[in-house]
Amino acid sequence: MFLVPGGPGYPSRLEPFYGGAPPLLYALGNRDLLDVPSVAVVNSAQPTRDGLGYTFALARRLAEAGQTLLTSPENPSYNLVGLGGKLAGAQAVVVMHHGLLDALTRHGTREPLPLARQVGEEIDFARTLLVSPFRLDGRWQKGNGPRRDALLVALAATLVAVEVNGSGTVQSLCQKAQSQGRRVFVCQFAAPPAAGVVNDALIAAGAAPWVPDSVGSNIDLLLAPPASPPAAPSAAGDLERRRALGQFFTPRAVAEFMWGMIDALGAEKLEPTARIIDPACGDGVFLRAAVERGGRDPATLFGVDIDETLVPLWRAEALLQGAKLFRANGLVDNPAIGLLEGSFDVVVGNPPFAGQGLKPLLQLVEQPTVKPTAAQLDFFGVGDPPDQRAKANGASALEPHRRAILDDLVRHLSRYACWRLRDAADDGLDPAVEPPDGVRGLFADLDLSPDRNLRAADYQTMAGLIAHWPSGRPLDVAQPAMRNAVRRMAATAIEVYFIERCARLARPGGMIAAIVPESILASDQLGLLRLRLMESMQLLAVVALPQKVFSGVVANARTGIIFGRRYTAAQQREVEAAQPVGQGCRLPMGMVKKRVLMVSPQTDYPDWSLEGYLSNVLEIAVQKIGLIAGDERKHHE
Amino acid sequence: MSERNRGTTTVLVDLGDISNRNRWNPGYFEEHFMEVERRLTELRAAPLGTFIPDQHPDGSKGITYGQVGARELDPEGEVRYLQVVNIRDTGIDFAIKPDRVADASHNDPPRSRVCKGDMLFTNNAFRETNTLLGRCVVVVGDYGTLNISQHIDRVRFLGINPFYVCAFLKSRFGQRRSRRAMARAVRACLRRFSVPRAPKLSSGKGAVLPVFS
Repeated sequence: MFLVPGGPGYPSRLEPFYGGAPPLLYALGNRDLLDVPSVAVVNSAQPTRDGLGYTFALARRLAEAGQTLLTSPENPSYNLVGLGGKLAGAQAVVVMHHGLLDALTRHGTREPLPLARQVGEEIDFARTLLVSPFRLDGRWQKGNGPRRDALLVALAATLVAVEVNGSGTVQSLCQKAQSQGRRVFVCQFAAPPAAGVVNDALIAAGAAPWVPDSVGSNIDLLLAPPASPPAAPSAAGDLERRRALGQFFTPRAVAEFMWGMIDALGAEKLEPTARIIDPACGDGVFLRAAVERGGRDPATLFGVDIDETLVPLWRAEALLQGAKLFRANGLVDNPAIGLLEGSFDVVVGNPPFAGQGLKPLLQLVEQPTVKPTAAQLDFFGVGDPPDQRAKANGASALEPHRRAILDDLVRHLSRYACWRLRDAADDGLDPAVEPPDGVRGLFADLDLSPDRNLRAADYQTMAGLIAHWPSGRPLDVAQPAMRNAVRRMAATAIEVYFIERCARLARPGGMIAAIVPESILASDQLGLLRLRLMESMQLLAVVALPQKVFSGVVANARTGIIFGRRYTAAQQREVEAAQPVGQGCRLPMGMVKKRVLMVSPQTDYPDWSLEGYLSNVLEIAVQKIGLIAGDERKHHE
Repeated sequence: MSERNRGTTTVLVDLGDISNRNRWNPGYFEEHFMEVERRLTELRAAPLGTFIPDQHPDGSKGITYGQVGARELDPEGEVRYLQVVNIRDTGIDFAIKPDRVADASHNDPPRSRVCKGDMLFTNNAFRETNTLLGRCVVVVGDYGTLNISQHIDRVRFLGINPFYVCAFLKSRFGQRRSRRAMARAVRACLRRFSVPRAPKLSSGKGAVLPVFS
């Protein structure tokens, strides 16, 4: 069919994009696809291998979420978009890089994207529209690429640029789309993935930052309706949302106090180039306080938060210009943004507590469980993925893109120790789920009879199995062991994960300063967590905070601040070789007598105030640390 | 030794001690609490858990608390429902909030039914109001069918007089022990509370009596 500018069926969004002179289009297939909002995922020429990986993952998630994708047959990036889409059965608008007749003469109705032919050789015209702006019999020639890219971007309601090179077609198209009010997301990296990549400049010019990863976890930002962009948080309106996120912003005085303590407790002076991270940074109060202390390059400051409404705040904050702030899950490693364990000199912050935590993981186990038939069993004896089984049996299942993101989160969390540390006696099996007959497979060595309580060792085995589950295969949550592991992870408080995360993010010898609820400090149930933490970091000080420090958000929790230093590699070896101290953790003899400063408030003191208390603690800390150092010197002599 | 200075209590604790006690809350190591602990050691105190069996011969639990979750009161219900506010220094005050729940309802699990001779202990610093923690009474009469909220522990001792335990928990020592155990997200763990052995422990008479035999 011909689509004539201004004529019936011609996509209205093209006219402003082409400045009133849009091209004549030749199309074949499902014309209706031009009327639905579609998404383009683009790269400049020669993207990196990681960039291609992010492109494929994102395309697949978008397709699973029912989005219509824009693609083209020619380059690897578009091919991966097409492949991701076809694997998930998505609708696609394929923009040809040459004439439509030429394409059909050469290939007939064969799938035009070489990579997508792995999934199906023929074009499914119910799901596909081929579009070309080129003369019907026109062959490929130099200059077609930029025209093809322009049409692809012009047709997109949402544009996601993964890697954009300076002074290239994609950069100018992104700028043009942005100037016309289109939704433009640009991947945000900790450092340019290759020379000449100018993503940061596009973001600085107003494009929305989008953090990529291997599963497209941030897809929710792209799926949000365009008419309701995330609003900046208001003082009162979003209180409930903040509570659900366990988000209690820290008073400035507390953040400044923590930096004072880090300086006082640090064995060595903090270098201006030291890498600092707040893994749940909220409004960035700790990073702002670090900048205000002076002499620090903002590029050394990293902040991560899962709340997308904070992004406008970060961008508007003058003190945070140049800092690396990302909308991502602080519990999950992500090489794209440099969020990796053992890579930060200081980990500081006030991680979330209470709220809904990781309860969304329960969606995985709330799916209908369907026994696999013999035909659905595979070589490993674990059966088809449960969502496929559920579909085959007519039961509703979790949306595939949500499923994939939750799966990925479970795989990451399986590496944490905290969820499997507690005594298992209080946590029984799910009696409703029996191991399917003959489907023990990978779990054959686990005794999962409902009569037996699970032990920590069982959780350890489960964690290993999840971590080694084939990467392309959804976790089989119909397996009782898997269900129990997921339930256990979901039931573990988010602050528990975050405190372990803080210790993991610090480099050997790095400092950790975190505000934690009193349960972390005192709960019997979390005793094993404390012992484990003490085997990975030297506790230096604990400062109890009075109740209602976070009263601005109506949070009454009692909290404390822990200060610690992750053991160096040599110290860690000593700890691992040491014997447990009494009923406690393993500590080398040289550490047993190390003093820890414990401070608590006496709020009945006349004229007691938080600011006065913190300033007093800092003063005392400096004196006591001097005394401790003196004692230790004497001890060595 | 802890030091008090302008609204701040400071104490230096050995890592080994922290590891052994497995507590990181600074208040735990304050001097007055440590003193209680030293005195209790001198008195050859025993953990209360020694006298709280997991299960009694009649199948009832040694210690339990009321049903957690939604509270569905029923003014016509047959079961009196005790909450923290009903537990007073002088005993159980049924008039102060005479709530009831339906027999065998969600809020009336058989395991937490209360009998004569049980000790009731408020286990949680409910809404951070510290004065609500550590209240205890012994149920001295037969008050009909009684059940409790989640913030109350029902304790059924074996081998120690509940009045003796109750008196100890109400003493300055006992109250400090309760405060020390307190944390908002933590239930005070009664089993780990130390109670001094009474002088006539070995005789089986005097302060140590069978439970309402």
